[in-house]
Amino acid sequence: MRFTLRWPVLLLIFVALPFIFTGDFVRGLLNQFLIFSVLAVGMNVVFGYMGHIPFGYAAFFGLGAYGSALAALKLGWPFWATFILGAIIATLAGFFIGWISLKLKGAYFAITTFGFMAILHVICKNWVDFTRGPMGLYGIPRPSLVELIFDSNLSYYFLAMACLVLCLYFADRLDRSPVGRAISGTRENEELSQSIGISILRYQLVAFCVSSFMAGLAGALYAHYFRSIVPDLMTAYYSLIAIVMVVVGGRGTLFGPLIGALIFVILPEYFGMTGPTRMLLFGIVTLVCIIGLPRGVWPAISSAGGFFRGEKPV
Amino acid sequence: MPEWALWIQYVLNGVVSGSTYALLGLGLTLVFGILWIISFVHGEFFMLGGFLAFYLLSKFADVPFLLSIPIAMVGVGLLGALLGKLTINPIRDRHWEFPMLSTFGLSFILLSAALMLFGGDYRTIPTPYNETVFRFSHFFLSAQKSIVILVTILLFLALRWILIKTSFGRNLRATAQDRIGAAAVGISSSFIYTWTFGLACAIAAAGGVLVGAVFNIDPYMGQTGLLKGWVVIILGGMGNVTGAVIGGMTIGIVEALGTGLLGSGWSEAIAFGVMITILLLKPQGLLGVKRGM
Repeated sequence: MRFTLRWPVLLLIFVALPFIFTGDFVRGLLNQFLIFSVLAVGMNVVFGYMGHIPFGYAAFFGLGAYGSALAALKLGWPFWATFILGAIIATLAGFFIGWISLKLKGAYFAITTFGFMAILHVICKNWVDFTRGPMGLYGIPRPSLVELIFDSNLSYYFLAMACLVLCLYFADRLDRSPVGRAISGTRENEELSQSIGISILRYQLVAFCVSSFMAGLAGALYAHYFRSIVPDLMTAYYSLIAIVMVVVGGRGTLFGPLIGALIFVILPEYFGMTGPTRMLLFGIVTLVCIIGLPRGVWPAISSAGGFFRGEKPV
Repeated sequence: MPEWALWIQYVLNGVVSGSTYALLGLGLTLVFGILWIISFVHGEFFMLGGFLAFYLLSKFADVPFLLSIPIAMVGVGLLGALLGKLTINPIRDRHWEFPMLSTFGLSFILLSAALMLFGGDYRTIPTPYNETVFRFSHFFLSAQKSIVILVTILLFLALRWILIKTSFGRNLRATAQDRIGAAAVGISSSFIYTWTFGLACAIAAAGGVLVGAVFNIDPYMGQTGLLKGWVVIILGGMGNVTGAVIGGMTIGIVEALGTGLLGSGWSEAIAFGVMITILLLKPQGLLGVKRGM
């Protein structure tokens, strides 16, 4: 039952959401929610399924944003081509960075990816001729396909929704495939996985590339939605909020990242928080979740649901 | 001034900024080597130390600058111990990722609190020692910069003395080697966690005061400082106190020379390039011993 129904239900909810909340402001928030969900779903592939912490994750977000924005501004490519280009640039960078960093484990992996992100950030800030440096890029066009222009929040919502559902579906398929099983296996016990013939580096590299593809896609969505980007997209802040979304939502679960993104986009707006107070809220939510709810919100919700259906709590 | 003298002047300036990196690295390496926690909040205590000294010295004009360093260390050290007790102690026995994520949260909270309380402006800690400049043939070093180097050496020696000679230090090292074994002979893990974290924060606070007096302070300095701290302890070997000082000086000098060659915009890229190279060629650091994580 569960497997056949959850995709139609999810699609129905997604399609219904912008018609339940019709205000343009709320639709804008929903767009942000979708964009950050794509980012969080990608983070979940590495952090949840593979069990590594990539601090440099925002590098792929920034590369996707810059790749797509530059292709649209300098070359005038149509949006589907720039989106794919942004995601592919991020994937190639992910392949290269992953290939080097995955030889290291745990904290060392995290910090090496971080170092690559810092280097990319510096390059992006100093290469003024190409990226306009700290001034950033602005006037990035909203996507348009022949006569269909995604310029309203509603139409952009469906574009972002399509990207999110594709990423989510792919993440789910990956997790259930033999490759995904092998990736989860390396998370649980590397030596044991190796002993039954799983090449750790190869499988983890696959997961890392998939996750950087999704981050690049999220970056492209971000660039064309907000229409201006700065090199600070490649700083730890975006990696951290992606990690925190996954942790708060529920690590390694399919829908956890969505819950995390929902909390982190909607909650500050609900309280009318900006700038520093928003960070304060993030900090408090993170601390409360880490100490009090270490498995995240989604597992807590689904085990509560199971409790009402008469299942024993896990 | 001849060309070679200019380069020696760069090295001298590199030693000064390297000293502040070393102070950050000392605390980080302590937290990592003994508590096995990757701390992301460490930079925030560095920043708080700077701001505590700034407000102390600008509100009370008769407090001497040198006294503000121990006051900032004690204040921030106590705050660090308290926050460590509240946020890290309850989850210290879980997988290493949990305490680390908890320090993320703490870092967000402290940074936003600093932005709300102090505002985002750059400030300089008032000090009388910037006026005096020593001259050695072709090179110059202000009194304030020599204080930075001296305080760093002093704190390094003090930390070594604490770790090797005092009973607290012995308990610390016992806990680092085997937490359960140490607990079995009556060393309270909770006590060690709280006060090691506090000690590390106090050292970072001293670094913040010194940076604020030579360069400037702002709420975001902890974030950039933390990155340098990480580079330093990777270079020196995680958990190695002497390595942290050597790593700090190395990064400071390499950065200063790189800035002389390429311009200041690229100094961060140089530091991280060095770090990645070290991680790939000798992941245990220049002086470190190999350990699992």
